[in-house]
Amino acid sequence: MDRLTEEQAKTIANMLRKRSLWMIHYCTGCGAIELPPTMTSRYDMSRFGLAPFVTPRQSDILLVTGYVNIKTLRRIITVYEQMLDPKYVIGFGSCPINGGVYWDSYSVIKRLDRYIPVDLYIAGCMPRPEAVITAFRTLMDMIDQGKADGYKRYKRNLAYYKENQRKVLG
Amino acid sequence: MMDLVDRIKEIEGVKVTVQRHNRVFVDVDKDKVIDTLYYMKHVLGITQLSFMNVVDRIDEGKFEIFYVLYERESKVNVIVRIWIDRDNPVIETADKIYPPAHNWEREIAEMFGVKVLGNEDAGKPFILENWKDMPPMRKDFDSVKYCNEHYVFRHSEEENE
Amino acid sequence: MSRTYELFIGPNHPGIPGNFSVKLELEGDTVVSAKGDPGYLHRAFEKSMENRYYIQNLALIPRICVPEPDINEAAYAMAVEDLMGVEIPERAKYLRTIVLEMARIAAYLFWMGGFAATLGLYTLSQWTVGDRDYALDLFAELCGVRVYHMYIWPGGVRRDAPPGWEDEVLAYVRYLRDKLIDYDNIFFKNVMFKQRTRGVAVITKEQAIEWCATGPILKATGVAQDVRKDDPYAAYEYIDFEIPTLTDGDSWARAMIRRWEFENSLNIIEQAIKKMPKKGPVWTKMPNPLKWRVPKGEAYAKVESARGEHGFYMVSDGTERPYRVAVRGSSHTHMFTIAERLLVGQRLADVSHILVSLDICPPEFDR
Repeated sequence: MDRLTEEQAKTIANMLRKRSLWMIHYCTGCGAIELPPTMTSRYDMSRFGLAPFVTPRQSDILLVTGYVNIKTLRRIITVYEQMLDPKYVIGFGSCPINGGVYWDSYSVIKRLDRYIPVDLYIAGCMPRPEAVITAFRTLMDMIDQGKADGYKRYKRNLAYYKENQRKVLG
Repeated sequence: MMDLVDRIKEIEGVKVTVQRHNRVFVDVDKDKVIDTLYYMKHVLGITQLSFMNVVDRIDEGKFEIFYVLYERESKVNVIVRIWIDRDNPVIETADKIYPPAHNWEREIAEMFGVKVLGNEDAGKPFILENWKDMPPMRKDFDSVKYCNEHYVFRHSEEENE
Repeated sequence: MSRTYELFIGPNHPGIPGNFSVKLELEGDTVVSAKGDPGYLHRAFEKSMENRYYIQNLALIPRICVPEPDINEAAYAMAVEDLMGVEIPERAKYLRTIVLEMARIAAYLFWMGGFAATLGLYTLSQWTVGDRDYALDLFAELCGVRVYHMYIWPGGVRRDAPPGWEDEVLAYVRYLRDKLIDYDNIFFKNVMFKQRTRGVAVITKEQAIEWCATGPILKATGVAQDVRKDDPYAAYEYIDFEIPTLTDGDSWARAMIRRWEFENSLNIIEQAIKKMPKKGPVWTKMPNPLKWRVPKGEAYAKVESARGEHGFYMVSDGTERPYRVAVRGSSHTHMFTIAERLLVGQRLADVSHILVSLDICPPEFDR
C-alpha cells in the first residue's frame, strides 16, 4: 500500500478527533447549571465520547456558558490561548450572542465573537441538555467536514481580535 | 416587639417608624450611627447584621445608608438609616461591631464611591476590575450610554470579520 | 525558616463551586490566609433593575441565584406586595410554598452531589443530579421552563397548576424518600465521609453569632433560626415542621443539617398539597402590569434559601420603575466573613469541601 496522501491523513485525523472531545470544565456563567445534568446519568454525554476535563492544555472544547463579564473575558482569553490546536469554542445561551437580558449592563460584553472565534452557538436561555448534546453532535459533523476552523481564523485575524480585546479590557 | 421598640426610642436623637411585618426603621444622625449600632449590639443584644447598602437620593443630594439588623428574641428587623452628603460621602466603619460590615463596606465603596474611614480594604478593587469610570451604581451613571460607547452590539446579519 | 507561597484556586478549578476565585497563602499545605476574589459573575442586576418596569424585572431576578432561582422571585414579589398592600389568595400561598420547597430540594440535591464530589465520591453526584432533573421536569410542566421559572410574581403566581400536577409531585416525593435511603447508605453513613468531615472547620455558637451566619451554618451550631418560622411567608405558618439543629458546628454537622432539611422539605410538600384548597384564584387582580405604580416607601422582604437568609431591600419613589433594589445574598457573609476566617489553619485538601459545606453560591454575591 502506498503512503497516505495529505488529504487522506486529514480525513482520518478528523474522523478520530471528533470521537474523543474533551471539554474544559470552566463554569463561566449561569449556563453551567445545565451542564451537570448533561454530564450525569440522565443525559450522559460520555456516550458520545465527551468528557469534562480540568486543565486547558488537554481540552479541545471551550464552552462559554452564558454571559461574559469583563473580568471573566480576560480569563476566557487566557484559557483559550492556553489550549492547544485544534480547539473549538461553543457559545452557550443567548447572552454570548447578543448580550441577552443584560443588554444594558455595563459589565457584560455583547458579542463574544469579536473577542474569540466562536464555532457554534446554542440559542436559548437556558438551552436544554438535549440542545447541548445536539450542539456537540453538530460540532462533530463540522469537524468531520473540516468546517470547525475557529482556531485557524484566530491565527489569521489575530490583529483584529487583539485590537478588540485591548479596546474592552484596557 | 413593642418592648424592643420602646427601648430603641430611649436612644437619644432617633426617629422610629414601625412598619408592618416586624420591620422597625430607625433614622439617626450620621455622626451618631456608630454609637447607635454599638448600643444596639451590646445593650439591646441585636447581634445580627443582615445587610448593609446604599440608596442614592440624587434629588436631595444625599446618600442613604441602611443597616438591616435582626433581633433573634423578638424576631424583629431593625433597619438603621443615615443620610450623608453626596458630594463628600464619608462614613465610619462598623466592622468592629459587626464583622460582616467590613465586606459590605468594600462593596459600597466600590459601587458608590463612599469613603469608609477605618476600613483599609474599602476603596480597593473588589468586584470590578480595571474600572475607570465613575462608581457605577450612582444614579447619574448611565449604563446604556456606557454600553453604547464601550461595546459593539449585534445589529444584523453582518459578517464578523 | 518558614516560607509561604500564594496559590490561586479558581476561577477555573473543579473544586470551586462556580466562577470565583480564592487566593490562598500557604505554608506547606496549611492555609495561612485566604482572600476571596469575587466579580467574575457581576452582571449589574441592581443597576439594570432601576432601568426596567416592575414587571420586566421578573425576567432578571431569577438569574441572581442560579441553583435556586425561586427564592429571588418570592422575595421580590413579597417586597412589591408589602409596598402595594396586596394580599395573595390562599391557593397561591400554597403553590408558592410547594414551588419554593421543590426549588430547595433541587438545590440540596445539587449540593449533595457537589459535596460528595469534593470528597472524591462521584457516584452520588451521578445519582442526585440525575434525580434533580425530574424536579426540573415538574417545573417544566408547571411553568414551561426547567431552570428560570418566573412563576411567583407580585399578586400570586403566574398560572394555576395543570391538572394532575399535584399527584406527580407526590409521586416524586415518594421516589425521593426511597432514594434518600440509598443516599444515606452510600454517603451519609459512609465512614470516609465522617472521617474527612468530623471536626474539620468547626464554628462555635459564639463565632456563628458574631459573624452573623444564617441558615444551615447557624443551625449546625445549635441556634434554631429560620425565616420560615420566625417571619412566616407563603403558607409556612399553616405547616408543621421542626428546625433541625446540631451543636457540633463542623463540616459534618453542616452536611447533616442539609440532609435533614432535605427530608423536611419532602414533609412540607406533602403537607402543603394535602392542605391546599383544591380550587380558587391564584392571582389577585392587579392593574395593567405596564402601569403598576408602587407607592412610595421602603420594604425589606426576606425568605429562607437553601443557604440562609435571602433578602430584598426595595425602595420605591412612586413611579413605574423601582428606585433601588438591593439584594442580600447569604453567601456574601458566608464567604467573605466566615470562610476567609475559617480556612486559616486548614489543609489544602480540605479547602474545597469546606467551601462547599458553607454552600458558597458566587452569583449571589457578585450579582
